Amino acid sequence: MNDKSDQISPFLVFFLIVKIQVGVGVLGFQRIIIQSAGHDAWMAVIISGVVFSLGIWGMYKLLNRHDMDLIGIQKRLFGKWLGGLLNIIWILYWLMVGISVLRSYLEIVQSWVFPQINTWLVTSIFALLIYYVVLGGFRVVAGFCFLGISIPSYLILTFYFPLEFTHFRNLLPIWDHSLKDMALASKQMSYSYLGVSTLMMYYPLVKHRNSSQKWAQLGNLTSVFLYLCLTILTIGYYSEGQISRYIWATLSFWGIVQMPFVERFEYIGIATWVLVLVPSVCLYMWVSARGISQYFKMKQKTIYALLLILLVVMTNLIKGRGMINQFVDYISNLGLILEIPYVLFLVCLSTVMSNKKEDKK
Amino acid sequence: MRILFAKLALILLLISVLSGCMGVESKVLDEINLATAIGYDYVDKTHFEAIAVTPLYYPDKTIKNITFSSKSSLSKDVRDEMNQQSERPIFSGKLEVVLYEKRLAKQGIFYLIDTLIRDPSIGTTLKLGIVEGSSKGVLSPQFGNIDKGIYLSNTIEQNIKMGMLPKTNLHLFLYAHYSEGMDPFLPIVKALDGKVYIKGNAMFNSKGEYVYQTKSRENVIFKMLYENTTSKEGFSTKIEGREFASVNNIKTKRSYKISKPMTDTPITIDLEIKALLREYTGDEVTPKMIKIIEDKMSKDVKERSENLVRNFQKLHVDPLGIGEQVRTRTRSWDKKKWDEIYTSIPINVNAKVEILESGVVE
Amino acid sequence: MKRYSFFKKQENHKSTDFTDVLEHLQKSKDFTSFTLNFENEIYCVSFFDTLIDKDIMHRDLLPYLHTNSSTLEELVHNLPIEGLVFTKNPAELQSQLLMGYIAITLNKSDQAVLVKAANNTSRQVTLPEVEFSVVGPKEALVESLDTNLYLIRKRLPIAELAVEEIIVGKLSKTRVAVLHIEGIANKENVETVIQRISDLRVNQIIDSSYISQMIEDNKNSPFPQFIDTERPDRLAAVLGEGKVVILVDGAPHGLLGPSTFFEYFAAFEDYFLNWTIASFFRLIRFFAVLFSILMTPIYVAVLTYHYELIPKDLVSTLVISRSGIPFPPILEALILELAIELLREAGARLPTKVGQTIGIVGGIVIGTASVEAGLTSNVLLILVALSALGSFTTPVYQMGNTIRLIRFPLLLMAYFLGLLGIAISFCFLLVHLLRITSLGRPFLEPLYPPRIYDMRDALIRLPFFLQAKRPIEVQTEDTVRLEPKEDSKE
Repeated sequence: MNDKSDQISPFLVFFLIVKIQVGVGVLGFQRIIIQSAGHDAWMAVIISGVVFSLGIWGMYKLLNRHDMDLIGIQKRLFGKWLGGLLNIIWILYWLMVGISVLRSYLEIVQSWVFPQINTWLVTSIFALLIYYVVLGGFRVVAGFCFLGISIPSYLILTFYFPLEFTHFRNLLPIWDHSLKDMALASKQMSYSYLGVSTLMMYYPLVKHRNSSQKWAQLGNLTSVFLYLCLTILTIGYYSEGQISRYIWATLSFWGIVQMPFVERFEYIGIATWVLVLVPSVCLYMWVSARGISQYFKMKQKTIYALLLILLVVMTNLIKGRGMINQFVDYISNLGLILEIPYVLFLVCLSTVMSNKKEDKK
Repeated sequence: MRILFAKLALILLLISVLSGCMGVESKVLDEINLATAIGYDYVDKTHFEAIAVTPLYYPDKTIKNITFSSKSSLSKDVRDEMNQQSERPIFSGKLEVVLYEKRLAKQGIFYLIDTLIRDPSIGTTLKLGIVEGSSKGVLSPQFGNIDKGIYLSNTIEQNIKMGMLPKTNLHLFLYAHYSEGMDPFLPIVKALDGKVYIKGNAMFNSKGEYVYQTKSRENVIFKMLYENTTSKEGFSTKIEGREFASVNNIKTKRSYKISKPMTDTPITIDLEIKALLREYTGDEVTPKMIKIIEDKMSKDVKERSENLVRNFQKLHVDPLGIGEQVRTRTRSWDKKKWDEIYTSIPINVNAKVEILESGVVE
Repeated sequence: MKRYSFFKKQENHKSTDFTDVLEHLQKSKDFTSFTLNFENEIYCVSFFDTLIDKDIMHRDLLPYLHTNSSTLEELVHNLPIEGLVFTKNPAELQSQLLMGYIAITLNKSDQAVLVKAANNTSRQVTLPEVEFSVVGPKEALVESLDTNLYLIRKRLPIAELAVEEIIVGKLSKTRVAVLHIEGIANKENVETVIQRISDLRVNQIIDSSYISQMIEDNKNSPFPQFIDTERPDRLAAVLGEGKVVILVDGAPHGLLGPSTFFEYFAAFEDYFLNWTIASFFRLIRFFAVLFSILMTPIYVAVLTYHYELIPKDLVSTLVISRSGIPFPPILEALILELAIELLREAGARLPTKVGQTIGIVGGIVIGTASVEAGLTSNVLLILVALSALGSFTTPVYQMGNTIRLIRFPLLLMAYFLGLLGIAISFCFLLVHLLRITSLGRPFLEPLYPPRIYDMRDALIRLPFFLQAKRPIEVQTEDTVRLEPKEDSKE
């Protein structure tokens, strides 16, 4: 793999960040946060968005100082063995997120469109598609992420239809929940923002990387804005008791769409979501493979093939809504620790260590 | 790269061969029966009779309805039994209207609605309705060359757009049902020589039981109080003796004034009505006369609205969502307390009728 | 005499001399060689009489051979024509004789003089047929490379227009010209093209499409990566954009690269029309293509799996049109699509006039009959016909073929997985487009990598004054196309 030809323009970081944050979660994040914070849930969206902004700042601090990817940084900070262990945790985490994204999507397909679909075959087709993408190198992965945002963005127009039934009064009274509720909702909301840590792997492939932070922050901001709009729409469109019954509130919005040539837009939405979700799985797979390739001298093709076989097998082993939810919760909790507190800890550690070095000199 | 592509093509080919094992259920449009309307009739306390209407399309563009019916206490059983009568599987993805008999609605219909929410193939634009008489009477007669379900849903939609029905569909029903300060309502239909006739609105209490039916003169008032309306329909008022005036093309705006929520202080609903004069049985329409008509009408609307609201309070139903208005103005809202005070809060309506045009004659 | 095989003889040319070559060629019936005796000098004049222009020989060569000249140099001095080459190499002698030269040898000397007298019989420059435009120039390339070069050079009378010529093909010895403008075109692009062409090891190059198939970056992709055009004006225009043009002797089409996906939807006529109109047409073309790819698969997917999507008023139309049809939607769609392909193929193989008849007969008779016989629904007939029309709107013929081809995998996937299948195969398509390159430049540019500047001439075409720079795609050396006016600087 030639790194030089794989480099991407800094503003593509914007799309990569939005892509990784806006995935399957968008279809149904509202229920959980509204259960905790009611009609004030939109504030939780902003709060956790700000936290992730801070996280991105931390990542850039770290990356700009060392100018290498996370695997290298951990090796340098913790040495070969401890660093290796931590690297394995990260790689596993990315891999598992990729799996959970695909699995959650299949869950939607199973409950809305094809209840008896043969998941082995479908995941194999997806794996094939992902294989075809990742073999094209990072340039293609980033390109797919870019198209995975720009093409499905037409779906935003469909949110005009629920607007007719939206009661914006429902947002009132503002701040009617306790701090504890809000903190809980913010924590739950932050699951939807997870994934920005992939930045720490593709960072070396970004041109003018030191100055690309503004694009990353803008990407995060865009995700916040998107989630915010959806949350406000949800609060207005559903009553509080009603939302607790809908697992995929965003999908249920589309049930109200009626156009002269098409109605029941959720089926089209689910199909379009392939374009939203596959790029993010690709990015996770690419990131994990890049991590692995620094430890094992294997051909890229072999690594990807192994990863994708694992993807297919894992996706099919996790069955039923209970197990899927448990798996997703577990991964998300791990991610929440890794992506914010741990990264900030790394920033502090690297600052201390570089200061020490300077002192010695 | 080349080998990869060949491999990909090969695998895709393989998939096509394996497609038999894809496990996706094909529902070819002309090989299924699409239920467009379902009616539920009361049998006894635990059982109901369901009747489903599916259209049969003939190549010469005529449409005939066939109906299936079965008795049960669970709506999934009903569907199985109907499938046993049908040459093609019945699907409910294009369900337009679901009707419930009044007697059934009195026991609460929510347990019957659950199946509609759970099924992802049913859209939330579905119309629900209450039937006076039996739903069999509404659904079984063939009406012209149109499918009964589509006919019913068009009738309801037309009356929402132009007439006296407020916006209603499955989503809004659920919204009202699940919200804390609001109770649902549904249109009431009645069979009339193979056609249907929309009689008014059925009010439900918070348990989802039917309790009240609006009278024909209350329908417009209810619509005006429920939402900001633009309607072709209008209302008429007695001015003096045998002089009547009526307006149409009304455009209304309502706003709530709640100075001290959750207390006994009165709640005021301001109603602004802009309309065209359609009919006046008195003498000439002078500007002075228009002023008089406006005043009379304002007073009339106010009276009728306040009566209707008082009625709702007495029955302890809140289809207007006054509770929601209060809730969004109160911090840490207490539903129980609201339920207690709702019946006793004085609710005033201030109506202001403004006549914009008086037709093409003077 | 030793019998050498043809190729061996070429390799061992050192052991042969002119007489051997001439004797060898004597085997051909159309080879003529005669000797002229003048004052002890014996000239030998030899040529292929099918290859040369006899006028030149009789008018400009033979009369002057009578004059006194004892050496070849003297002889040449007297000849009033250009294109004279001296050679001592028998192999060159042979190859030039086969290119339509007349060879004159003197029995004493080991040199031969070659006189260019090739018979340049070729078609007249005619109207473009494939890329006809109502407005704008109406010249098309012809089979003669020299004529084609003339057509381009007269549009670009500058010294910087460089023409590199390479002979390709063991048997055909085809002249392939690579054109670019020095100082504008990226050297890397030019070198890649020249390198790839000279690396070709083939027997014959019959047409420019041979070259394009053999030097493409991705040879297995159904998408063409060089634009194929018959318009010299288009070639001249893209040379000005900094692209590389390949002309092949014997091919009435030139190739240009690097190209992007969106260029295939740009008719050259777009530049002759006002930018608003041109942009509108381009968008129409693009939507026609999207429609063409997606419509039948969507029909199959919706009718097979997603009946919920059909609005209530459309249900009866669809069901009635399908009532009595014994086939599932996929079979119905495949039958119709294949029927259209048959019609197209039959029309293409037959002479123009018969082809038109076939089109009408096929379109009307087969279409109506199949609907009346209850084999296909009329709604689908409309959709298939429209999508066939849509695929014909692409200005570049090769792209139209591609679009018709990629409909079929989409159709099958729609049958297997409904809308989900369409989405997945659409993803495959997108990724494929992302992965392929044209001369190493991304094919999907300016969509990806996103280059706002190049979008001015992609899906839409903005006015010329807004396109002051050359496309970034080509990575030109000189990026400025329109220099700002002097007074605007002040």
